[in-house]
Amino acid sequence: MISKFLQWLEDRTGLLTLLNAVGNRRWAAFLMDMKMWPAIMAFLFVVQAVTGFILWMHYSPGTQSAYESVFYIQNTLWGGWLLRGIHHFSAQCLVASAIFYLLRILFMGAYKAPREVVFWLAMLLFFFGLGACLTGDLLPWTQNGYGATQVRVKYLTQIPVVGQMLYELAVGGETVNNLTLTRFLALHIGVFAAGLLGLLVVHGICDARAERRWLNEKLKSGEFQVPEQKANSCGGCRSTKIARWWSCQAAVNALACSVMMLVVLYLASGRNFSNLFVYSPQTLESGEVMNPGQYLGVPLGPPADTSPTTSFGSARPEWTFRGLYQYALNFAGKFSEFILIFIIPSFLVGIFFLMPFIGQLKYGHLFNLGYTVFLGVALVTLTMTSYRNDANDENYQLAKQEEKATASRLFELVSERGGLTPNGALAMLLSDWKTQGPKLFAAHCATCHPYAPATDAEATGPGIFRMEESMAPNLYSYPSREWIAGWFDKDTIRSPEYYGYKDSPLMKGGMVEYVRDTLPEFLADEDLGEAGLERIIDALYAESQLSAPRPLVPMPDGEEDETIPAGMDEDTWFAFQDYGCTGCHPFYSLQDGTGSGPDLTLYGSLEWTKKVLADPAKEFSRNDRMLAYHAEAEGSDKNLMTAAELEMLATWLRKGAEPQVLDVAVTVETEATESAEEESGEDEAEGEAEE
Amino acid sequence: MEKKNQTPETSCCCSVQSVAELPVGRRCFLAQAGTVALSAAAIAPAVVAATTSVLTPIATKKEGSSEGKMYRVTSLDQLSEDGTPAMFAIKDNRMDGWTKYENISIGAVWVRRTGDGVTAFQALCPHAGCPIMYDEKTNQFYCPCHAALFTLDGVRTELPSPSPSPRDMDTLEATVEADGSVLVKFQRFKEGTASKIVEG
Repeated sequence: MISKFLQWLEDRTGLLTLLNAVGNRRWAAFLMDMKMWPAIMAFLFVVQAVTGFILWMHYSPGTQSAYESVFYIQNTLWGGWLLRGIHHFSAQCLVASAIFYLLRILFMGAYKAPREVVFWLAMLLFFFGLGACLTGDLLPWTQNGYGATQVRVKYLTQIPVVGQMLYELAVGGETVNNLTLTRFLALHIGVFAAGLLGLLVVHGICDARAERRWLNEKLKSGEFQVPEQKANSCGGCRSTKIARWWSCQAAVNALACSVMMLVVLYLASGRNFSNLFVYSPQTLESGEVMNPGQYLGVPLGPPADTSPTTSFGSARPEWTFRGLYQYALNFAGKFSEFILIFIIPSFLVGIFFLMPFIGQLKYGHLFNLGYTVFLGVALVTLTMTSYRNDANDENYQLAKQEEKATASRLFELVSERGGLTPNGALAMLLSDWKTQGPKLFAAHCATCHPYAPATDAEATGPGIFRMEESMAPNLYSYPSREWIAGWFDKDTIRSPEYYGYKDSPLMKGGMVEYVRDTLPEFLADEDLGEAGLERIIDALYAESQLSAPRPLVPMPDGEEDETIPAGMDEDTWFAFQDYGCTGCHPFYSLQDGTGSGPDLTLYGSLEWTKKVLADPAKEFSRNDRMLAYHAEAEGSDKNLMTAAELEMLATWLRKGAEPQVLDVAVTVETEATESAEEESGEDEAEGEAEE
Repeated sequence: MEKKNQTPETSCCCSVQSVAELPVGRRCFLAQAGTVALSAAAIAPAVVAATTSVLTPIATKKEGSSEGKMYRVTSLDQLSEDGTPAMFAIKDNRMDGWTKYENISIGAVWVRRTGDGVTAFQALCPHAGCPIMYDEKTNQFYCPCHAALFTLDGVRTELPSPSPSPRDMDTLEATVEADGSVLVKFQRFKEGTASKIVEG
């Protein structure tokens, strides 16, 4: 029955003859390790095509949707992170395979006539692989991909005469924009992926043709002999020179492809195979583990911010271009960029294209080998130098840290909201106090105010700011109870962390004088003592509303219709008078003094903080150099910050340093829960497929 | 070669056995040229439409209205007196493909106070166009992409190796108005050249 069907099929299509011809093709058995590389590349290409097609099904090019769709792939699709990981790392492996294949050809001398075209096609395969990687790098629209691409395409403008035109054609406008994404997607699939397919086919045909001729010559001259075909023999793999494709070469290919897939999986699993099994849909459903997309596969950095004020601090090329990157750094300034980036590399690569001709000369093959080894060693050295430099570059490491922190913050925001907002991931981050707080602080406050734990001099991070000589109080942990208590210690208040900073006029102010001279008397007083001060500190901390909101209520057993904050007892209320606070500071209805000190009503609360930031001179009669950040009506370009920025900075100031003092339930102004932010220990998979 | 002479004219463009046997002769040439021309004409409209579409970015007028305009970036009293630089965004409208964004950052400048005046720099590195950052630890400008260093006056630092930047940071015209407003004339310059060439 089956044989009848096969006969029928053979009659109509000639398929069996074809399969037989392929399967029985004779191969040089001692070259199987060279012959397997095109098969590996074809295999990786198929992997790319399959994963790429599924990615394409979910990808939406555009500055408002590209990152968001990749975020969805990475974090929501079942195994989407694995899909993306396999696509990414098999691309790296494809490029690496092309390198190995070329090296194998070169050392074999298999680039010489009549195999020139086969060699050239293999080189083109390599370059198309690189092209696919370069265009693919931009597609997720992350800050790094955007930054790296912006720099790369800008180099085009260095080409004389047509450079600017090429650049504008490449990006579809003046800067990398929405049309760059659509163009790069089209190039990625329509030119590089399709080109790879075409090249693989043409390369295969040319290779087989050259192979057949060569083998026939060897057979004719008697150098090789066809092994005797025994019944049930399997390809004759062990005979010295000649083997059959099926299933000798085929077996080697299958083994090699499997190994390659293991390499890809190893890299995609965050270099730990067990991760592939930990994250099953069941463990995800049960909430036992976080979504793997945040840690595994290719890490998805924060979305691209095309504002030119945003740093490209953590953008670096992939391993494939690291050597070139470091070379350009080493020789920067010695040549013009055009010569450095285009002419010299083209010349160096051009030699490879000429190798089939050079190889015909006496010692030509030796030259080719020497040249390859030299260039290879140079590139590997440069690549390693680049990675080493980055490891020692503090600014780069900080930028990497910040990148990671921003990405996981976005994940947190999206998880809390249950999805992205219609205006996209970047807008979410730009309106997030936790992300913007440190940036606003850096831009507006950090030139005067430190923001660092006094107890831990080593602490660093995106939200920590130090300076040699501060010019204003350290705002770290404002307005925690400890921070407030610091004002009432005569040594602390005169330390640089409080009023003892450089050129501080406040050292001669009333508060320092009070704490130094007057307060000890109250503390020594029998009736007042330490307990009353503790009550004041507690009350002030309660004013910040960090622990609970404090509506005004009628004073218990109060005279007249006086109101005090809920939870405050009468003793505390009057302690503000007894200790002389209200002699300077207004506090609710207690306004018996000069009013020269800032109003303590709702001290440290969001409203109070915003008021001070908006126009400090209004609050502090002795305002020391602090600028007004939002003194004009919203919309005025005289405001240094918008109302929204003011809100984010104030929120961060109150909670940035000590999220643990937060009682989420009662903080009305933020929807963010302070879930303990765990830095994943996963090594960043850089995609260094074995080099 | 003998065969060629025997090739009957009727088989003009067919039954070619090898490269050496490509038919020649006036009628053959005409027929072949005609075939090629007809095919080319058939595909031409598609090629023309494709080409013009792709070339749109270089054919359309630049949105360069922002170039050379004066922008208010800050006011003098908001700049640190000790000359610590501050970065400001230049806000204007920008087209991104088919979307018009209003009042977004289209550029960035570094501004330093120098007594009663200011110095303003284009924030993009003259080397490859990365935004230049300020390192408060060493009190200098640096470019995170290719490690160019600049003093606070925008002068390239040649240590430890020659600067990748072909010129010093690009200064921009800046004035302080009577009310203290700091105005900056925003311009972009071509990257990678030793001289300042205004772009656009």
